[in-house]
Formats: sequence, C-alpha cells, structure tokens
Amino acid sequence: MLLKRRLAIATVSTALFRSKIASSQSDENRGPFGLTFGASIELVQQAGIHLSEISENKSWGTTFTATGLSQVLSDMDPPGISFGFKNKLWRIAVPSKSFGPDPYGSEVLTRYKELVLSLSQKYGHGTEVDLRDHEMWKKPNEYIMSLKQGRANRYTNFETNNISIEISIRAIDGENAYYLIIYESKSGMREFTKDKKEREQNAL
Amino acid sequence: MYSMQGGWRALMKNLLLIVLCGLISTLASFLVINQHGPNNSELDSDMALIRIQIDDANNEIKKYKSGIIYTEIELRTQILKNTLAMLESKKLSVLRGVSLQYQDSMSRYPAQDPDIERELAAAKNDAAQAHTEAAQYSGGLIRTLAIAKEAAVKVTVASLQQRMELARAGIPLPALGAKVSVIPPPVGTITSDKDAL
Repeated sequence: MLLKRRLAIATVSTALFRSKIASSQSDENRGPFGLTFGASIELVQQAGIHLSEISENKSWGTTFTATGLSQVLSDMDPPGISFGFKNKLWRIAVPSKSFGPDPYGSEVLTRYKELVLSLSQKYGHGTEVDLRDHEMWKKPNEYIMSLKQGRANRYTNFETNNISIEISIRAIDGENAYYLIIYESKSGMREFTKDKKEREQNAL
Repeated sequence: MYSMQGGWRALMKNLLLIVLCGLISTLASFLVINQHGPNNSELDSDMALIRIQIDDANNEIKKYKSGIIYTEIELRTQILKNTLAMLESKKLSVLRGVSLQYQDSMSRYPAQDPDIERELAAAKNDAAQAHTEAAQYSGGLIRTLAIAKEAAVKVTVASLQQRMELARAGIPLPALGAKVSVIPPPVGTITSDKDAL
C-alpha cells in the first residue's frame, strides 16, 4: 500500500516537473507577434502565416516577409523573419510605416518612446543611446537629416536570457523616418554565426 | 369517400404550390442573370455585324503578304475576333443561365458613353477620308500611305467598337492607362503594443 502511494506520488511529481520544463522551454522560445523562435518554415506556414521569400538578401540565411500574423502593431510593415541555414526561426526585423514629412522627427520620436516603454515593461529596463550632431545638422528641424547622414543615433537595447532586442529610429531621407525593431534569439544567433563561419570556410 | 376527395385536393394544392415556387425561382434567377446587358436578338445582330467586318478584313488581307498594312489588318482581325468570342460567351451564358463573374480590378465602362461614340464617329470619318484619298490614285507612295492610314484608323475603329460592344454587354475590359490598385495582404491582427511585442 505504502509502495503504491509512493509510486503514485513519484509519477505525479515527474509529470509536474516535465510540464514545468516544457512550459519554461516554450516561454524561452516565445517571440513577438505570435511567432516562436526555433520554429521551422513549415510550422510557421501551418499557423496560417503567409511567407514571401526575400531572395536578394541572404545576410541572415533564408529570410521571408510575413503577413497574416496573429498579433501586430498598428503601424508596422510586414516583418522580415530569418530562418538561418537550418530552418529555425532566429531573427525578426520589424520596420514601421513611414512617419513624415517631418524634419523634426516629432511623430516618430513620440512613437519610439511609447514602444520603448512597452518593451521595458515586458523585457526589463533597456540601455538607451541618444547621440546628437552638434556641428553640421544641429538644428531641431535637421534631426532626421542628421540621422540620415549617420551623425546622430537613437536606439535602445534590451537583453533577456534568451533574446536581444534593439529598437531604433532610421531615416529614409531628410524628412521621413521609421522605427525598426530587431529581435534575435541568442541561441539561434550562436547557431547561425557558427553555420555561417563553416560555410565561409568551406567556400574558401 | 369525402376524406379521400379532401386528401386528393390537398395533394393537388401542394403540387400546384411546388410548381408555382419552381416557376417563380426560375424566373427570378433568369432576371438576376440577365439584368445587365442586351438580350439574345441584340447580341445576334451585333455578332452578325462583327462577322461581316471580319470577312471584309479577311478579303482585304489577301491583297498583301507582309508589311505594315498587312500587320494593321491582321491586328484589326484579331480585335474583331476577340470581340466576337466575348459576345459569343455572353450569349451562351444567357442561354444556359450562367452568371459570368469578372475580376474587380477590371474597369467597367458605361454602356452609353458619348465620348466614345464621338471618338468612334471621328475614327470612322477618318477611315472613310483615307479610303477616298487612296481611291484617287492608281498607285505610288501617296496611295500606299493613304491605305496604311486607313488600315491604322480601322484598328482604332475596331478597338473603340470592342469597348462599346463589351460595355453594352456588361463585360469589363482592362482600362488602358488606368491604375490597377493592388491591395497588399494585411500584416496581421492589430493588438495592443504590449501583446504584440
């Protein structure tokens, strides 16, 4: 009787332990916009997401634009999602629609700050960099131009155990800008970097 | 006996009701399918006219073996044949009760378009003038140029005619120079920033 009870307790605790591990693994892999890091192309498509390959850019392995996502921001364009060389989702880059014409960049800055706040609430405090041009493009109405020329930078980095996130403001020209959010799975990035090196060595 | 008669009457009444419903639904579907466009006899007369024009073009093309005039007549023939084929499919759809569906990205021209009618009249006038001009000469460059002009204008006539015929039949055509708006697929379901991020 005692043996039976012990066996039952052991079985229940093993099941609980397993489910805890599974749930923590799924939390680790949970990405933004309803995506899951490590998922294959087929799995993403099975979830009803439409993928169109970006054949001209192989910088991050096989990359697609994704539409039909379950959760999106109101002003984002289709994200570019990269599966590396081993068919595992590891990088998600989300550009926004264009804000402008506004050479001051007021609208894009306001939106950037809103998103930084939301990201901080979800992923913890970020590290912000706000570099301004004090020589050439220093007037307030030249802010977007200074970003375009690379004489100013505005971005915030967030780090968790599993994901790196960067949100930045990018300029299209002197008066139009957009925000860009990049999510990278840390383990996925390690694997991609390793694969890339191997490929380069084989090619040489 | 009385109950048998009553049952018979009820059966007949039900049968009559079913037949009436059938007739009404057939009439309704016929009206829905044929609510736009000309009737059968109008289509027949339009198609007969186009067949005559195709025969004319076929006789005309026999005089040439190649060159710009040959190409213009060939082009006109193809436009006319295309118009004929579309009207034939319209007629078949009317006869067989098939409702033809067309893509929305194509433009439907109005059935009565005074601008097109004016353009068509002007083109026909130009063709007639070029024909008269060519008839004044027995040969030479001026005659050849006049015939080439007539052949080119007749292509315009055939195109405008096609547009009018198809507009009358309720068949849309891709509008030349019109912007075809391509609606990009939605990125996804918009949620709160925190949920999406």
